[in-house]
Order: sequence, then structure tokens, then C-alpha cells
Amino acid sequence: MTARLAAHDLSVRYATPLGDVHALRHVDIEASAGEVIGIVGESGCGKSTLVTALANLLPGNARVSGSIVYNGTDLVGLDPHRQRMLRGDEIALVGQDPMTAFNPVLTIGDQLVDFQHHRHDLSRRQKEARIAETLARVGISDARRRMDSYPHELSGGMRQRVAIAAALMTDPGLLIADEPTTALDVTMEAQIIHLLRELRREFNGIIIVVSHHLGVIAELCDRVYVMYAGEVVEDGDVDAIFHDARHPYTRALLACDPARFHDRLDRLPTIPGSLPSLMTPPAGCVYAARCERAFAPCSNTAPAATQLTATHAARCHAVHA
Amino acid sequence: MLTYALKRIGLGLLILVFVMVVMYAAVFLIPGDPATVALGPRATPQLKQMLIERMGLDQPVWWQIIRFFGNAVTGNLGYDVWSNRPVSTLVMEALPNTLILGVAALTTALLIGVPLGCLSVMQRGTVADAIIGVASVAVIAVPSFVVAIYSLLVFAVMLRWLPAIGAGESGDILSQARALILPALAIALGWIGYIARMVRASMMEVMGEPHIRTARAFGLPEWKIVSKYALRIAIIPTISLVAVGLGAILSSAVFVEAVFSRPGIGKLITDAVNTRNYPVVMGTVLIMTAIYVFITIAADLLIARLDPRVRDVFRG
Repeated sequence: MTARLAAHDLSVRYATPLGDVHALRHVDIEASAGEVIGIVGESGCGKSTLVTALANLLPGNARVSGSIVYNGTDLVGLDPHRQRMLRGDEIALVGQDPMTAFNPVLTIGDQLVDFQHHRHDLSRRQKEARIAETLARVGISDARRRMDSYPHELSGGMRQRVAIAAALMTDPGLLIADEPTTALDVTMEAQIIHLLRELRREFNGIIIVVSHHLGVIAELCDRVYVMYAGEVVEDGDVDAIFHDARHPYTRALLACDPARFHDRLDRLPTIPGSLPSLMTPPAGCVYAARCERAFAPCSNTAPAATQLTATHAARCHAVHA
Repeated sequence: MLTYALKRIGLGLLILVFVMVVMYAAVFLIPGDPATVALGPRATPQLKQMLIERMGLDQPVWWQIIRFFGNAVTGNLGYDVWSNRPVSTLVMEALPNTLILGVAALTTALLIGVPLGCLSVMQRGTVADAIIGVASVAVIAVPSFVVAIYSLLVFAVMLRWLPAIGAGESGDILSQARALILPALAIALGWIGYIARMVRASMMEVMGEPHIRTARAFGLPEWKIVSKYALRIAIIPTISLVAVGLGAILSSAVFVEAVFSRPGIGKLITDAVNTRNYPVVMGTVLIMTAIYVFITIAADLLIARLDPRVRDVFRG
């Protein structure tokens, strides 16, 4: 079966003693097998909450509404046991920080054997053989010896390769990479991006890449969702987003990307203002307070999505098809 | 690892010397000379002189300490002032009972406390967690000799299920085991609470770490995450606690052995202190300190064994 993922009207709020935090509001996401989806936005915009919801790993105080339909099954409200059976089998997650992603007192090999627990058909020896093979595939030489290593004996870049190998080993239909390069230095980042680019050619499930790094998204993804304050403000093909961005926030974000400057600047550009409180989200457009194009309806009416082309949409009062 | 072990053992020997120096100092801090204290104010000078010579108190202190250690190395811990039996024999007679008591109490505490702590974490925020929490604090708060007296009253005197005094018939394992239950439980009860709280606290911390999220992301069952991924890390502070706590266990053995009239180190020390039997006090304290030092080293080595990061620090 070809994997298909569709989140519709997905909202997540966290119950806290101070009140509810509306981390994600009315998000629609679609993806089918073979696609690489990028999710981009500044810190605190709900990127991680979105992928955590997709991976069924939200904490106990999270309240989810809407639907996440994966291959015909709605993940929202699925019983915990069936959720667990999907994790590490159909859905795999590569975490943000490879330095802390592995258990420090167990060997890499031991953990990767455990991670294949859904494969009851394989013996331990067969699982170890698969690990060696997958580690070699992600560019780790000396795979057999590395399996006996503890995580702290590996470099950050190598650990992230192991994390990707762990995810690949489960043959997932949906592979989520949550900020896969954020904790790495520039050289390592380039290597991991290179690895992910190679993998996407052979991988035939859905890949979701989360990053606040526009360059990573541009290099890896087919389609992009731009998020702001828990909402998707614009989505479209990677070319449309990077060359024909219509939402003021997307444009501002692109204008702040140092990689796109032609000249040296004394000061890096920023978007003035800060994110609205997610405890009491604004009644109108979430971006209105920081938007240079804001006008009358922005502060009290939430904009509906304007379909610009078949695959490009923006939520803004100032954008017209 | 070997260098580390040797370093620890060297440090342990230093601790032993230090403890004995303090012990000697304590003897000299008691008003009047030890012989007078031991024999009472109405003893004849000849008798006092005899006792002083027998205890070696006429020699300079540094010489006494060196001689004490010199003898201790060859297994001679001095002689009981009153019965003239070798202290080493007295200790060897009493030690097995105390060790069995301590090990039984500690094993019971670990076998019950660790699973309770894990259960608390798996059921966090529920009624079961709250009950375990309250019960733990309650048993920690009750001193072991109180538990000893009440359990004696209920199970030995009123219900007559278990023997009230002694360590059981020698050679009869079953009778010895029955005599062990109440004293072991009296010591273990508070430790069950301690260990459950400790395991819960460190486990809660570990369960929030990203690698647990990774294990969850791969759909590992919760019991496996708790028992393998979290416990291996969370048990480390508990090992340190138990190693340090062994001193407390041995000192609570003093009370518990008194309540149950169990022959053991605790009883030996209490009796010796009461009769100012210094060689016995010294010998027993030396042995207990040695055991304590040994267990602390063993615990550190065990931690190094469990945590490869610690291991590498010592290797490098």
C-alpha cells in the first residue's frame, strides 16, 4: 500500500496550571508516498508539536482535536496499544539532538536490536546483520565495531547517522526528521543533508523534515508548510514558497535568511515584534501585530485560505488569487 | 579500572587508620584514665596498673596505634579485658549473624523498594502512586527499634508465629531463617520506603530525558523502557545511597539485636561499651569500618560497571 497522510483541522492544546496553551490550531497537512514535506517556522510556532502529534508522542497534558488519517486509520483517539504498534513500525522519528537521543548506558547495537522489536520474524543474529547493513548504508564504516560502542564514544554527526539508520531499519511508511541538523556544526549539517538527499531517492514512504533553517528545507523538500503561532500560514511547492511567496510572514522570513544576502550587512534584518501569546490567541490574523501590510479586517477576522494555484495557498486578507 | 580500584583501596586503608586514631583519641577524652573508668574509683593501684599494662595503655599513643595495626594485619585484634578471649574470635562469632541480618534486610528492601519505585513511576499521578508515596514516608519516619518492639509484640508474643529472641538453633537453617524474619523486617521496612522514594525520584528524572522519548518513538513497551532503559540509569543513585546507608543499617542492627537478643556485632559493641572493654570496642569498630569501606568501594566499582561514561573517566 502506498502511504498517505492527511491531517485535517488538527488542534493541540496543552493544559497547564496557568491555562491552556493553544500550540496548534486548525492545521491541515497532506502528504503521499514519495513526497518530502518541509515544515518551517521560527521557534515556538508549533513545528515540534505538529510532528510530535503525528508520531503519537504528545505528553499527557496535550488535548488533541481534529483528525490525522494515516493509511485510512485516524491516529487521533486511537487506543494507546495500537498507537504504540505504529510507532517504530509504520512511523519513525529522528530526533533533534543526537547527543542525547540514545541511552548512555546501553551499546548502540543493543538499542538498535531493541528498536526492531516489531520484527518477531527475525532472530537476534538477523537483527544484528540488518543493523550492520543499515549502518554501512548511512555511511558508518566499521559498523560491527560501532555496534559495541556506547553513544558517548561516537561523534555527534555519527550519532545522527545512527539515528537515521535506526529509523530506516524499521522500514517506515512515514519518516519524520525533527530538526535533524540543528544540533550539528556546519560541516556535519552538510553531510547529514547529503545523506538525507541520497536516502530520499531510494525511500518510497513519506518524509517530513522540520527545520527553522530555510536552506535545509530548500535542499530537501518537495512541498513546504510555513507555520506561524500554531497555524499554517502558507503552503506550496518548494519553488512557489521560495520564489513566489505571498504571505507577508513567509516573505519576512525569507528576507531574514543570511544565505540569501548578496552584500555584507552591518546588521542582520529581523522581524520586529514577537509571537502572540498562545494562551490567548488573537481573534484575527495571528501575524497581524507584526505585519507591515495589516489593515482593518486583520485584527478581528481570521483570514481564510486563499487558493493561489492548485498547490499553493496562503492565509492572508491581503492575498488574492 | 584497575588503577582506580587500587586508588580506592589505598584511600580505604587511610580511612581505617584515621578512624582508629579518632577512636584512640576518644578513649583519651574520657575523663580519668581508661583503667579507672573500667574498674571504678575503688580499685587498688596494683589492679589498675595490671589492667593498664594489659590494655597496653602505658605505651605512647602513636606506638599503641602502630602496634594495634601491626597486630591487626596478622589477625590479632587484642584480647577481651574481662574474659581474655581473643577479640578476633569474638568478632568472628558475632559477625556472621550481623552480616546475615544486614544482607537479608538489604535484599528485602531492594526487592520490594525498587519495584515499588518503578510502579510509582509507571502509575505516576494515580492513587497507587499516592499510596506508595505516603506509605514510604510513613515507614521512613518510624525508627527500626519501634518496628522491632511492635513486631515482636504482635508476631511473636500475641500471634506466636515467630520466635521472639535469639538467632535460632545452630545448624538448623529453618529455625535460623524463622528467627531472622522479624529483625530483618524491622531494619528493612524503613529502607523499603527510602529506596522506593529514591528510585521514583531518579526514575522521574530519567524518564524525562530525550533517549526515553527515542525508545518510545520506536514503540518499545513501557515496562521495557522502565526496567531496561530507565532503571539502569536510575538505579545508580540508589546504589550509592544503599552503600552509604549500610552504615546506618549496621547501627540500626545495634538496636534491633538488642531488642531481639540476637548475638551479633551490635550486641557485642553495646556490651563492650557498657563494660569499657576497649580492645573489644577497637577491634569491632576496625572490622566494621573495614566492611563499610569495602562495601563503598564495591558500590563505586559496580557503578563504574553499570555506567560506561564513569568507566571511561577512570580509564582515561
